[in-house]
Amino acid sequence: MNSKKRFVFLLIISLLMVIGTIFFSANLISLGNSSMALVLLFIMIIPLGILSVFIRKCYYDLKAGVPGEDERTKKVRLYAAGYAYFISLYVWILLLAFNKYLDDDLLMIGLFGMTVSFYLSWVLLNRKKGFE
Amino acid sequence: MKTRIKELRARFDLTQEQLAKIVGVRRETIVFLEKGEYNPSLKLAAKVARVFNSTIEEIFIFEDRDLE
Repeated sequence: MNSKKRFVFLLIISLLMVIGTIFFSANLISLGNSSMALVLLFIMIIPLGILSVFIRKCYYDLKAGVPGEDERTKKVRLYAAGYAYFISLYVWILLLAFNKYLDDDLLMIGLFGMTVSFYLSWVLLNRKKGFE
Repeated sequence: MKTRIKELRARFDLTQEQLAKIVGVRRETIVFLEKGEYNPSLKLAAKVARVFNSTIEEIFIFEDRDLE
């Protein structure tokens, strides 16, 4: 994905997230649950903040004419996905072992665990020296 | 692995960003390359060598322990 496509993609994603948040918050307020709407708004500030950092970075890449990703970033992402896969297996085994205490939250916690394991793997590999 | 990219970049009066733009990578990759903290693909190594009118062996210096 080149810088321009990446920039447009991130912009659309953030726009959808903003629209979705507004829609759900308005829905919650109309149902008389304004405190939950406020919680949702506060929670959504975090991913939108992270996205805005990426959009800003992407914009400067686009302006400077450098690619958004290259062979190193692709390698880091591939390795991170591989590590995250193995970590996720153990996360799911652990979650299934404690299945009876988690009820309906199992899927959500599992997906969250997968996301966190990928992010952590990516951060660690991105700083790794002598990456091949 | 040691590289002579920083030295050659100074000789050719190129910034990291300019070199990154020429060879089509991110500036961070050039930083890692200069520090010898990333082993580039043969294609990228050849591109860098071409920018400096040099050969891959002259820019990327491998010691015996790097090849173990």
